[in-house]
Amino acid sequence: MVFMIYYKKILIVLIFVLFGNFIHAITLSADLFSYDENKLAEEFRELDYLENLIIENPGISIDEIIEQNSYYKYFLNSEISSPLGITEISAPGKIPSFWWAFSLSIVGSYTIYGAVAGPIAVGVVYFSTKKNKDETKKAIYGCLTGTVLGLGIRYLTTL
Amino acid sequence: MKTIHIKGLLLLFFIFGNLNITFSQQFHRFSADYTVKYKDREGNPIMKMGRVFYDSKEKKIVIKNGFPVKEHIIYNDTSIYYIRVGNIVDHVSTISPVEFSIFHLALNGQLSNYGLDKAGYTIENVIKDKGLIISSWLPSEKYKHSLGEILVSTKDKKLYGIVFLDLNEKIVSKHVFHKYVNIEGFEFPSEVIRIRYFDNYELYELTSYKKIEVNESGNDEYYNYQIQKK
Repeated sequence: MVFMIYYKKILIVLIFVLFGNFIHAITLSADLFSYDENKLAEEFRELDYLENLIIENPGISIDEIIEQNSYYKYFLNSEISSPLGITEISAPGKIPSFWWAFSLSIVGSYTIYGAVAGPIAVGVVYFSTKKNKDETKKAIYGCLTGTVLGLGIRYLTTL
Repeated sequence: MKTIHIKGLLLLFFIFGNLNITFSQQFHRFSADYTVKYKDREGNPIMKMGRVFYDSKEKKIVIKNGFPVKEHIIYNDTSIYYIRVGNIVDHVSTISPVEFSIFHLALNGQLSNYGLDKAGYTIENVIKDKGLIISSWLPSEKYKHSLGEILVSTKDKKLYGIVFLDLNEKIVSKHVFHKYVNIEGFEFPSEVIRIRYFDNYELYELTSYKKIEVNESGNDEYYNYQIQKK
């Protein structure tokens, strides 16, 4: 009798050891595929607004979006807008547009005779970026800053 | 008499031949406007918008991103290229077979089980619950110590959800495919929800597709994107 009880227990253990892999631990049910719909809607409420804003205003820039709602300021500095830490790639030699135009215009305006270097740099950016407005704008800012600084240095050094 | 038989056979052949052509329309190109929204671990909102192109013959997923950065992202089986203003700004080596992308599977009519049979998974169990046909899939013998089980559900013969489990049968991520659209017989989910589970938080991601086109004849420069390595 005692042998029979032990025999049954040993048999049950053996079944689990031998066929444990075939016993499904997770119970299949439709609930496994459910998700919190309210959380999903809540999570992306602001982004839904942003998506509609972009669809309704094709070509709107990030700056213009931030002017309307500072919540989206994150996009300016996020890794997403600059995944590799490169914010501007356009001018020859992959030099950022601003610094390309700035460097040439500061040297150009300091020497006076090279004052056309800045506008030429802007032109190079304009054509090399296939008329990209944002990059050209950055080059213009670079050119203006460089020109003012170049002339300023020249004025101070000639006093 | 024989002539009548031959004529009849030819007529039948003509009718069924044409029917066959009608019903077995092949889809090889897919393009759509897409928006993907998610939040990073710090809770910062992230959104990308653009258009995706895929040609099952070229086997390249080409993304023409419009927001927040204008760039082209090209995926092939071994690499991802990020291209801005004609320059490659990043190149990542990766193993990510495009044949298991949602685009390839949908174009080839293999979306209902997410191509798991082609990936060496075998079906283990099938049940029906609350209108879903749920099946569990086990990886091949070679990978059963490194890959977990995958659960697939279908609704009205269309893929509804995929649940990825780890080796301890804990849910790692969940994908839900819904709002199917039908374009000339091609069915595609216009919304895909992905939820990734971590120890004490979960991340939601929502991808939506609009303006879906199949077998487009234009835009060859995107479907067969040529990467200019300078």
